[in-house]
Amino acid sequence: MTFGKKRLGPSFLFTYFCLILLLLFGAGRPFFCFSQDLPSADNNSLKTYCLVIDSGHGGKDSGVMLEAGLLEKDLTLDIAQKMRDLISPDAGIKAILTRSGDYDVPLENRAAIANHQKADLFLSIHFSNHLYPPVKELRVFIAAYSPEEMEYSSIKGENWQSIQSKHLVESREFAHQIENAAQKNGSFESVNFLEAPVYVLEGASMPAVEVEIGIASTPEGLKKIESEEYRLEIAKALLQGILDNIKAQEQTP
Amino acid sequence: MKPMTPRNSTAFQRLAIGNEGIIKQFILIILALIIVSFGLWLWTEVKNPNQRIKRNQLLSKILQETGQSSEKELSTIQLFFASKAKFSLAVETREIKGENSSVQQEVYRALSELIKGPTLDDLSPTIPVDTKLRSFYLDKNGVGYVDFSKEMIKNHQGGSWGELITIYSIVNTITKNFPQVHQVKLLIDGLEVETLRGHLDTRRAFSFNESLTRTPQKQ
Repeated sequence: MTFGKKRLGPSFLFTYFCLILLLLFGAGRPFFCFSQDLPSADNNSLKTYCLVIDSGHGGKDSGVMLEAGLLEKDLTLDIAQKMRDLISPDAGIKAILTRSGDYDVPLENRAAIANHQKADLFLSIHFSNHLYPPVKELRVFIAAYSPEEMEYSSIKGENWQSIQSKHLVESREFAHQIENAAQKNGSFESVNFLEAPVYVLEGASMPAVEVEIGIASTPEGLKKIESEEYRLEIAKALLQGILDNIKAQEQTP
Repeated sequence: MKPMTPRNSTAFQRLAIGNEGIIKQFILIILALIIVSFGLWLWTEVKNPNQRIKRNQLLSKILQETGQSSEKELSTIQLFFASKAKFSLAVETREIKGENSSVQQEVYRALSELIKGPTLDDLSPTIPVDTKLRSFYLDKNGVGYVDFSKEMIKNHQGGSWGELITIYSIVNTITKNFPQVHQVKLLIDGLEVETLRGHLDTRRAFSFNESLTRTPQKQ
């Protein structure tokens, strides 16, 4: 290899190479370390609870259209964001959303996010519309497995679909706490509890509940759900259920 | 004419003994044939039981045509639709013509009635518009496979409750009226689907749901 008139030896090239390596990694290193060590600020003795809130649908999947321009994916994101903003910083709760904008998140990934975060609670939010009264209805779902499926998973061990089967007792308790909070809050005319094979809950490795906010597609129902205050009330009701669950968890060590 | 000699008599005796042997052999061959043919029949029966079913169908058809069997009879079926007033499924009974046919055909007929929708005012339909039933078949474990056209997904409004009510109106209608069907698996255009509209897991086989036919309301 020649450079001008001089011929550069291999030892010269090697030193150059080493210098470049040093510049790239050695110099950058202190900055990397600094940014990595920063967020360990909370050294409280109290446990921080991790809550994962899943806003149903998103991106190409708009979910239910309650009326022109009023889509389920936007409503679920709005409720999730309102809930996150309602949590006071000193509450000891870290809230993570499965999506922070309008984009696709595959169904399996939603529970996977909660598992990855080692979340203490998982709440999935959905909306639906119906034609008949009541105007405002809350349906609280937990996962369901048949006796055969329970037996199969106990013999064959865990698979993705059967993970939630180990948390059904706690999930049921969590669901009842949400139910009670919603009934006290008075935002809904009826509150119902159901067990069903809800896809998004099946892979969750923690107490997991899905809520479906049913709004009648009547002028009354649409007016209600379009109002900011009413949506804030829903967020408050759901958050109260979560706070009740955390309180109960703290009381039983 | 030769006089009978002791020698001759022994020859006759021998002949008689020989004859006896032939008879014994003959009986043995027939027995072997019976065993072999029984074995063959058993083997074919085990290998394809469909043939027997077909034969029985043919037999009943012949019996029907000759008028020995009962004439066209009306059978009462229970159809599960969504209740408007309550948060549940509700039953509408309907009479359909039972033509002494197979389970497959009878389930097909019952589901066709379910697709038509309810006649009572306080009930609402559970199957999306334009959905067609493609086929139904029952496997030897009592799992019924019900295959719908893609409109089942395309025209479904979605929602956990909406999907739940659609799935169990089908499952409860089949399992309630046909006890030989223990579980029902849903197919769309012949294939298994993960969910209808992203809520309930439809990869599994469903059994009769008792709790949905009552109001689960907690007051």
